[in-house]
Amino acid sequence: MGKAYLGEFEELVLTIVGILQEDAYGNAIVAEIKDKADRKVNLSAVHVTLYRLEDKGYVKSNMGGATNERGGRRKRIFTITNAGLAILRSMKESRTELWKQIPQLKISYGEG
Amino acid sequence: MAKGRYAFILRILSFFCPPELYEGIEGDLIEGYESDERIYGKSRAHRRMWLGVFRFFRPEIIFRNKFQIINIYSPMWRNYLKVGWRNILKNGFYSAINVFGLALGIGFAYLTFLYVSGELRYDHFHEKADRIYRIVEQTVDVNTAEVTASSVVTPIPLSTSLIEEYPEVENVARFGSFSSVVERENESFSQSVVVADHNFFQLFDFDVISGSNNLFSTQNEVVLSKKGAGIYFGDRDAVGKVLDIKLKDSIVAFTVSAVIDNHSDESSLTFDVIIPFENFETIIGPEVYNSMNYGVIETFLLLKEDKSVFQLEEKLNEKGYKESEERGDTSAKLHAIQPLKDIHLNSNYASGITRTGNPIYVYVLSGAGLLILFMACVNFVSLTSGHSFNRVKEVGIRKTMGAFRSQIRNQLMAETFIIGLIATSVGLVLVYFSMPFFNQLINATLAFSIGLSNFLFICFLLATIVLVAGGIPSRLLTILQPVQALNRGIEDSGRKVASKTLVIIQFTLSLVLLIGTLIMNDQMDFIYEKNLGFDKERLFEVSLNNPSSGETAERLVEVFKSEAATESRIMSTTASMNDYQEPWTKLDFEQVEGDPIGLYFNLVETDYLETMKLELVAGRWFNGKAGSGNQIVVNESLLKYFNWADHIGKQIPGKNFSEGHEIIGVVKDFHFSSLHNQVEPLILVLDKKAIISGVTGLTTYRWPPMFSSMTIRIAPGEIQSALKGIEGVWAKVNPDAPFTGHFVDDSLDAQYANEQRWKKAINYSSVFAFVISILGLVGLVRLLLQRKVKEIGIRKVLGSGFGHLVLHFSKGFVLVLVSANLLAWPFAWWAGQKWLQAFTYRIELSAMPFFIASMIVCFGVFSVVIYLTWRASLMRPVDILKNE
Repeated sequence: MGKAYLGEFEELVLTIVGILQEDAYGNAIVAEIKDKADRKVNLSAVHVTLYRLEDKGYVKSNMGGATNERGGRRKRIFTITNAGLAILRSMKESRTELWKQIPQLKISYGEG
Repeated sequence: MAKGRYAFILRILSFFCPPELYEGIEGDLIEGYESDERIYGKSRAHRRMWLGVFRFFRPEIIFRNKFQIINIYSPMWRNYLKVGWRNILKNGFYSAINVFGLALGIGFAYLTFLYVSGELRYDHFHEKADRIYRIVEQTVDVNTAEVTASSVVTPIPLSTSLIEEYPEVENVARFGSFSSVVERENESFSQSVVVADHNFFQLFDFDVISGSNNLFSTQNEVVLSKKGAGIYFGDRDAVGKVLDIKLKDSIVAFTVSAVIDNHSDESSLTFDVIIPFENFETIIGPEVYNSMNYGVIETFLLLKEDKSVFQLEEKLNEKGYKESEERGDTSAKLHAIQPLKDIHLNSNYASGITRTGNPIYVYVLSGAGLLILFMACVNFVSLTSGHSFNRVKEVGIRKTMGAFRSQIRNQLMAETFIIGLIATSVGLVLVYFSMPFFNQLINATLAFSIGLSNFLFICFLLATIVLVAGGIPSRLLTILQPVQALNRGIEDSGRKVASKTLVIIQFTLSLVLLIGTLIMNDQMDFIYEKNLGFDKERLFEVSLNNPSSGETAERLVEVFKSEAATESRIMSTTASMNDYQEPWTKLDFEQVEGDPIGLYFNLVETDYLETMKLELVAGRWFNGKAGSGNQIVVNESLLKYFNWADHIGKQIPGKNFSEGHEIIGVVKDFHFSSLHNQVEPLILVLDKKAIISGVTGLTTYRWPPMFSSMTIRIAPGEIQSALKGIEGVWAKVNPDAPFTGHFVDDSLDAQYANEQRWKKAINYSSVFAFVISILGLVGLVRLLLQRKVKEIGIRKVLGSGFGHLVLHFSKGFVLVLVSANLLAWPFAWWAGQKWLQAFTYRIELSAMPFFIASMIVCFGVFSVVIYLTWRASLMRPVDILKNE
């Protein structure tokens, strides 16, 4: 697949999947994003992103147990894979690496 | 369960959602619905669920799906296409005929589609086109409500009364035209100049290409079309430059304020030079300009958005009837309203200043297009089903191997699709290359383009062909029982009849087209060579370029005549007010008793009779201008019109004649308008005073009455030198004016140019149809012979010669030809009769075209049969018979 790359939204969703652990399914992720990142997102966008992450091998999914709440439908629970964790970590590190290179104290030499 | 509320929405989701994802998505949506229902209530939850489902309708979801379907079916489809392709290659000859025939049909249909859709879109480009109407003046008999005359040219003050008296009218614009001389840097050009109101540019959307947007705020502005600007200024910017335009006897300077796009290929209103309407008063004089009796311009109105046309028309009618009642007339002048979009293809009204098309040819051409497409499809069907006999074995084996009927059908459809696709591409290539030729043929400006609507048309065409032309043969094949198929139980008489019927239909159609073409050609030749009542040969008309007054014109003609006496090639010269370029003037007279009458009129010069070579049937011609002040000459039709046995002592029964006039002679009828019409009553005068005092109205291209052109009879011999001579005399007499002239027979030809062009177009389409049906025949005969190859071999072994074989195989086609002829004749006779009725002067239908068309078809059929039989009989019997 060439060089691994995650888009901003993909990274967000992947992180949330990591946070939610056993409870990561469509609606919960939408709610969590609204809660933690204060962003309103479409359910369909989240689903599509999840399937794409699954194609890339960063998450895997299986059907949870049936409950009464959802008209008896099972949830598709997503869990982050080792590869997913690895890419999150590497993205974080490379960003920190870059962040460090920004001079923290900015001194300007004015001419006038 | 509560899910009944959203079951339907979820079903929609299930249509496009991949099944393995379905449950998870559905569950999330239901969960969302339940929480929404708690927070917002049912209806909002409902709406949000719709939205949610709608949002899942996105490629990322849908394509996860499709991929699966293609995976399941693709091998079979690929196989169909592969086998189809092999079959096409294997039967090269037959496929080529199929492809070529279909390509011709598709190409022709596409051309006609382009043309017809262009014709139907005429004048549609104006944004307000739906609300723009043209006023048509109609004379109606009060008692019978019958329309006795209608004219699209209307009086000038009409527009003022329209806008003042009828609140429904939002805006009006007047549109007139006159011919003039335009000067630019000492060069002068004859030019037809249009006059239009300031409002004209608000009603109609002719976009400004360069220059001001506020047009005609002053009286000395001129607006040019792109072409007009090209004529006078070439590539230079025209805006701000000055053009000198001759208005009657003065030359007025006009400043170009804008160059606009005149949409010349889709607009009925044509113009190259427009000046403000007020200038028209100078041209036609204040009397006509302010009178309600003279129809000289076209009036357009813009209806207010929410108003009904019918109400306005009713109001107009009411007024017209009231006025006629006040006058005590038995006829009323009404104002009908014609939609702008209707102008181009409405043949009920004689054309006025705007240009119109002819709807008949749109029908004829679309009919021919459909017919040819149909024939191409019939060809395809009969060839494919004929050919399918050869494939019966293949189908039988496929069936025994367990193929479903639908699979076999799909396979045949796939094959048709390939052929259709190739044929469409070939057809489009043909269209591309024949486009310039076609444009020239029917005088159109079509461009080869594949826009959305054209693309859809092509797809539609292809789909129809695949479904119809592929569907029928595949049905025929698939209903075969495998045993029957493998047993070669193919001599199924029912199917043979079917394919014969198709051949008969085809030949019937091409016979009808051929006969129609021949009748049309006969009629056109008849018109072309008909005796016009005057001698049109070597008759040359020279424009006098709108002389400033009658006296100037007369003097000019006199000087020219005396100069011309020295020029040996000029036989005689005369002058007249109306010439063969435009329709002649029609004068209205109020009768002492009865309805007003309209009579044609021409002001002529003493030598008119001699130069035109008219024939005098009674009385005498004028003796010269002096003393002719109350004399008129009429034509035979006028005597007939009034039911007079002779002219002696008769008078035109006009009410308003202040002085009496005398009819001194009668000329034989001669044609002065299109041969579509009968020769109308006509009055000729030397002195306008003889008749003008009695006129109460008129329809004309020229006014006031004075000579507008000279007519010169040239002596036989070389034309070019004679023209040089005329031009030389003209330059001596009138050195500053442009020399513009034309031969009368050329302008007569121009009147029939349309017919001539269409004649050609129809000729070509009937040739097309014939070629297609012959192509079909070639394919069929070859198939037949292929199947009978063994029979031929055996016959040859038993001593049959070539002649016997031909006789044997031609037999079957005699019946086909006889039935096609019997079917085609009555239909062609009926259609021909209908078409001929449009002409006043027409041929009688004779047996000749029928006979000739039948001969052509018979000849075509038998030469194909003979040639192919000959080819087949060349084979040595041993080659054919040795295997098996």
